[in-house]
Amino acid sequence: MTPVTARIPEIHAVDASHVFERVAAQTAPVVIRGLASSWPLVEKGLESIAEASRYLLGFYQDTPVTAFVSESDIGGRIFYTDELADTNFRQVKTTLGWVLDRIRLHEGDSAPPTVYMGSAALDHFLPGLSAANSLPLGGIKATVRIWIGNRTTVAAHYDVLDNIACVCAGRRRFTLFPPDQLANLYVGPIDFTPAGQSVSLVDLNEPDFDRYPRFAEALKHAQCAVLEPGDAIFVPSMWWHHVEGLESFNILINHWWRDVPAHMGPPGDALLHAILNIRDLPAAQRKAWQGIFDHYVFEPGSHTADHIPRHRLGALGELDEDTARRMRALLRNNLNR
Amino acid sequence: MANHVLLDNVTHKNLRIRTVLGKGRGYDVNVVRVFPSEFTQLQREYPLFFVKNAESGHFETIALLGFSDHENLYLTGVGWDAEYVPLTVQRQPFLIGFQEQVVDGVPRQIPVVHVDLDHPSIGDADGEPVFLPHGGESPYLQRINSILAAIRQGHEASRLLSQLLVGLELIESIAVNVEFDDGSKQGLAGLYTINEDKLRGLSANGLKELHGRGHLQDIHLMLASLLSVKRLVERKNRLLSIDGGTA
Repeated sequence: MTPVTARIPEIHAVDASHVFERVAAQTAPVVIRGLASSWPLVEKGLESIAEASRYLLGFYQDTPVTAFVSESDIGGRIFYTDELADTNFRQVKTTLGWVLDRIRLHEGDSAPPTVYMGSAALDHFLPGLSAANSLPLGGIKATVRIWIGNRTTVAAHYDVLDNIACVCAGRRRFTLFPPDQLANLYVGPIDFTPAGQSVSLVDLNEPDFDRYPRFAEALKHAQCAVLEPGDAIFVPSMWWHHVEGLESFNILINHWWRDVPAHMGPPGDALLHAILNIRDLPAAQRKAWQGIFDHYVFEPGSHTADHIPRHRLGALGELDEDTARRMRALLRNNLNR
Repeated sequence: MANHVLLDNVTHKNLRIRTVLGKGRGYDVNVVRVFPSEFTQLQREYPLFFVKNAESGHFETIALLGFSDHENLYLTGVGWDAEYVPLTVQRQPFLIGFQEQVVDGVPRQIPVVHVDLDHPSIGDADGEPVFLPHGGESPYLQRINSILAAIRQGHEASRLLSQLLVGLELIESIAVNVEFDDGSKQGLAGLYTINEDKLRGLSANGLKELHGRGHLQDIHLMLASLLSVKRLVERKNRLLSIDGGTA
């Protein structure tokens, strides 16, 4: 089915308590087999859907959840309707019990209606579950999320955060593209997205090369892996990942984190600001700004500010909390016009 | 009828609000919600009471503006005749709404600004602009934002105050009976205030609790405000004499 043959490199026998250190130096994806195989949720999932559901509900305190639901005709592809008129699913406020029941009800269907509860904060919805069913974080400030659904596909997208995702039940196929494949992925709108992130508009498993010819090039750089229960994957920040839940019941728990000072906001804000203020400049001016951004932002070095006395570096020096505050106030003020 | 919608800087880019508070602009009411944070400024000009919310059964703090249903004696031909205007009047036609937003995987009820598009203060070409030319927030909207934030905190403060006073059995109903220069009389029902006798007889612990949470001053300001009933009657009398309403 998948047109990708290259495999994501794998490592085995990684001690869960050192996994964050282990991937810290890593900028490429890696599959870590069996990292979560001793989690109780993984063991229950191997028994049956019913066992895993019962185990989850043991932690559930009736906090309303948001599920994406759709008819079977979308084939589990969380996406848009024709011409991107709308999303092809609707969001319902419901209970975890309803989500699990609905998945189980259609367990044997060859074309089940789509049920998908994604990116739910584990400690908020299932307090206590993380104790035995997530990676030891050490000093890392990670947000831990749970994803429950039947056969679903989320088109290739990037996240700003580094990610270690662990399959707890079912199987998941991850297909990854390096960040530089952006132009070959035919990425959709940045301000109207299916689930928060811009996605590739190409259907990975049935690519329309007439419409998306450059996607053939993207495929040359793609690598994939199928994760079994207990397997994990490190998806580095900014890597495009296309994710498919392959079984009638899939659970994933992932850990998102980034190791940057707390004063740094979402880089995407700077992109929007640049689109607003730079993209439509006359070509020569835009070119000059490209040089300025390279000089100050993308390729800073000794040429950038070594000639400035240290006490006058300001925003060009190492950013501390106070300098960041001053910059934020200035930006906020300038934006309000 | 109210028509509350989420305020946004595209749909409402040209929205202007007439900020002069005048008659026939939705302010024809004889009570308004007020909050402890305003008591200091309010008590010199407005009588302050508790009323019982018919739905929740909780006591809420209000300022009395007039003696009959739609009588607002602070409204005049040239605006609101008082040094201080209550926050819930200043906020008009804006109000706080809540919108669910997912923050770090957790759904949160985030306060957002709503506007009542059917409010009579809307739509004047010479009103205050809500947005700046490119969609930023005008100083007027920034002021509204801080008013709405103060109201949000005020609801909580008012709830805590009445909860504490109910616990200490310090709230009693009060019959307000007034007589105007034209000889007519009016009685107001449904108002509550502090029982001064019980306040005087309050145990040291009770006093400590009131004082500790900063509510002792609120209580004294409410009691002092009762003197403003007389001033409200004077407003009514002035109106009666202007109207030539001689008995």
